[in-house]
Amino acid sequence: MEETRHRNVEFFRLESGESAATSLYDEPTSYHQTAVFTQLPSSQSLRRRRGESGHAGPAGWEEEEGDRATAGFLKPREWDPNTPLRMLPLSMEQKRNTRKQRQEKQRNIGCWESWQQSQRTSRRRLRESLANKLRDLQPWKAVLHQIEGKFGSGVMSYFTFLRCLVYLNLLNVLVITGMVIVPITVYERNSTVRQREATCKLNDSFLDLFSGMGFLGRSSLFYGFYTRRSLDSACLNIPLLFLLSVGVVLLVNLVWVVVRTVNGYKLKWMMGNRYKMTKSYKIFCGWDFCIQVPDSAALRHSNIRNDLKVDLEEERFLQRESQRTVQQWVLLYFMRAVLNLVVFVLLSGAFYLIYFATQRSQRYQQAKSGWILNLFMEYLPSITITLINFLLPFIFCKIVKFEDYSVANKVNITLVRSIFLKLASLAMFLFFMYQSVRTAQQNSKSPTCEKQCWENTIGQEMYKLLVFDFLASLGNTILVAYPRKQLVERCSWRLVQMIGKDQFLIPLNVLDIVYSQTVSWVGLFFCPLLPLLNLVKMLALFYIRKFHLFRNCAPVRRMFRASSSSVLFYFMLLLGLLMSLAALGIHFVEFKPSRACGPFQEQERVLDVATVCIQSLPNATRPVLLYLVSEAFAIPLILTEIILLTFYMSIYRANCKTIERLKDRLVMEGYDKRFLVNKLSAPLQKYERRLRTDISKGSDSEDIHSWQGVTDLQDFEPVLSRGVSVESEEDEGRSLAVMSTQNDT
Amino acid sequence: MGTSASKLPKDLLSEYQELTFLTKQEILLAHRKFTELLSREERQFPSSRVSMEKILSLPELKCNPFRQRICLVFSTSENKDGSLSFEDFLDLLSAFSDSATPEIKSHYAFRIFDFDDDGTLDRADLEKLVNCLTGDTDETRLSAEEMRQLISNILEESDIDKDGTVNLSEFQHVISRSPDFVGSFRIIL
Repeated sequence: MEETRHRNVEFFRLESGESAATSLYDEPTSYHQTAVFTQLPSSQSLRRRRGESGHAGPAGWEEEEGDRATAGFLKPREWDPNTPLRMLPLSMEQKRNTRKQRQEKQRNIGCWESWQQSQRTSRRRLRESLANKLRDLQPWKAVLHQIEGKFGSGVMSYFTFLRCLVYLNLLNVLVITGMVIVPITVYERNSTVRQREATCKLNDSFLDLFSGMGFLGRSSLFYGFYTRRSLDSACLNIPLLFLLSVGVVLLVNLVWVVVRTVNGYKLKWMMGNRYKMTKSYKIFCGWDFCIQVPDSAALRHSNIRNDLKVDLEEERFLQRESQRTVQQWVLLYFMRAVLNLVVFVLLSGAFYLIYFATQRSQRYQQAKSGWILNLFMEYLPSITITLINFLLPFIFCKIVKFEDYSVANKVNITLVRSIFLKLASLAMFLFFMYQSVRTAQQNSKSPTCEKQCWENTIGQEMYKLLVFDFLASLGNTILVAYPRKQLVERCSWRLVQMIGKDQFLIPLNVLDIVYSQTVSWVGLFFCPLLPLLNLVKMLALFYIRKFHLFRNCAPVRRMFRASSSSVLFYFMLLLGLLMSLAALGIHFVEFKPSRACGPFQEQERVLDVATVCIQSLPNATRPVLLYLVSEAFAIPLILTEIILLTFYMSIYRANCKTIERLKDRLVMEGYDKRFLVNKLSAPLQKYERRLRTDISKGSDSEDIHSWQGVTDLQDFEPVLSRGVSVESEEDEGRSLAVMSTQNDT
Repeated sequence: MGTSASKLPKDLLSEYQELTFLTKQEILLAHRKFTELLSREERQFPSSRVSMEKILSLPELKCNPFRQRICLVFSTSENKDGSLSFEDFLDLLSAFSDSATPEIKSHYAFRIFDFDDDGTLDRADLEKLVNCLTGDTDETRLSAEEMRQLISNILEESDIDKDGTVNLSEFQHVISRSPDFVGSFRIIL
């Protein structure tokens, strides 16, 4: 029974949507300009201002009337006396009046309540001023404003993302300093490091700054430095602190990234496929009011125009797609298959190149062929990876043009390929490193001082990746993009003009910083101060990118939405973090820590430190901890999670259904409203005609008011009682919005 | 010039802080900018108005395609010429400020987009709105066919009660789901 009724309503709504183009959209132009319509509460909230000065013509009397009605029943309904005055959409004078009214009302109420109200106000003001002070403390506020004004909010979202990562790295550095570095410096007495220094020959040079060897290799930058020192009880020792700080950093970062991704996803979901409102967004939220430069304004115009045209094009593309013949489909799929094969070949070629570079670099013995060659061989893997990451995305951009996807899909597919490339190349590099470590562990017969500590080697590789990536982006900005821009501006050859200025492609730039953040996560265990390095890098990168943007770049032709992009950014970050977690997990399970260096030299496995600590705990706590890690605890935990999830899912479904119902009811109310307005306006028009003849005869306005009273109270009493339901339409709209925001828990 | 800050009495300043979303510094800055637009004699009177042309010459509004609508919406002038008093100017900045609530912003956005001031966005309003966005010259405008398709699409999406126009609550419903709106509906002096 319920089902059929629901379907009926659905059908009704569909029908109204279909017939919209023909009859319904022609009629309203007359309907919403009728006099009765202007008296509906929903339209009156808007006309309060217009009511201040009378309009000429027959509408004049009704404006006054409208104003009185506003004062009578609309204000108390709309403005809750507790909302701050500034939140009312009124002019300053009206706000003053409202305040006066409120104060009078306050005098009427009791002493206690008025005191409470004033307390509430002052608390709110304090909170606001504090929030303002805090906001002023954020760095780069002015720069971000400038960027936003010149290039729009899409580009700014890249820079805010960068700033977020700076905060994150700062937090990581603080955690590591607090948990490891400070205890070590406090308890610094042991001299194991110095002993080792004595046995090894020392040839430090400034080149160590790039290779991470020599004095840098022995410093607190790398894993090898953190040996078991005088701070050595069962549950408070350097290895445990080291492990704990790495765990805390990764956990905090995971939580942070997941929260951010989920928040972004929530917003995206709300605008998502379920309720298609993309075109409305583009129209209603299309203009960026921050823009102050004529060039950017013109650009924005053309951006919006192109965007809309692309959208309309896409609609036609979908139509065309549905009309493709079988032969065309086959051809297209063949083409796509071939191109995907090309991409695959490119990727595997890239991975082989990385493998080759890693092998060469590992096998290369420090010969006496000059420091340049030495350094080059040291950096060979980093150079290869950076070059591959720099070149292949451009090739992907070219390839995707032949695949005949829709515009949005083109961007997404290029992005997915680039993400895969970046993360996979890093993963491959790690894999090869691990492999060479394993072979070295199996036949470790040649213990030189550096080779023994393979954790340090991995840390050094990560260090080199980070350093080289930074140098590459610095070099790209100063040595490639800047001359290119000068060339384009000075030289008018066709070839040069065809190349054009560099464009600030947001997704690829974001990919760069995501990559560097991933490197810092992967290397965290082997090089605990990598976050510090990354922090410095990000800080420098902010200024480099700013310089690049202002000096070298032509504005981007394609529009980029701030909201959709930030979800993507955090999703990429999440992928990077998961990858580094996986790498670290494999490391913990598969590999023995090296005997020669580092905090875990006495343990068989890294996690044994924790086991030792648990063993030393008093008897009461041990079973509890053991229970927490056992299956007996895991199963109830999973069950509880399942129950919670089911609960939320059912709430979600119910909310979805309610939204549908409310929508249907809104449509019905809309019909009712139109019907009533049409019914009402017929006698009103008749009366207007009579009024005009009366005015020409010279009757006064008292007559009008008396007529109003008569019509309101007698003739249309049944109609007015229905009017309540018309009013409720507005409330429903609001509750619909509330529902849909609530629905994402 | 330097004395302009002291021209604003302290109690008035705190009242403005209460009634708008602006901070003290922003109000003082707005006052300085506003007095720069006034002539020497006009500065004597606190209620003097600045004509729409002068307001539109501000760099913050110069490039905005909705600049005239903004002035008309915020003007409390008797003769509807879009001229702003200082308090109107503060209202404008308050609605466009960082800390203004989405409700306020969407309310004013609706009024700005409602070109004929009739309380709903009908087809004519939407057409004007789209023209403002794409640029209002013959070569930048969308073709009639594209415009028709676009407006039908918009109405299909946002006109929930299917009466052929978008009213305030429908508009706010759409806006409430757009995270970009609050960020982009801003003018900072």
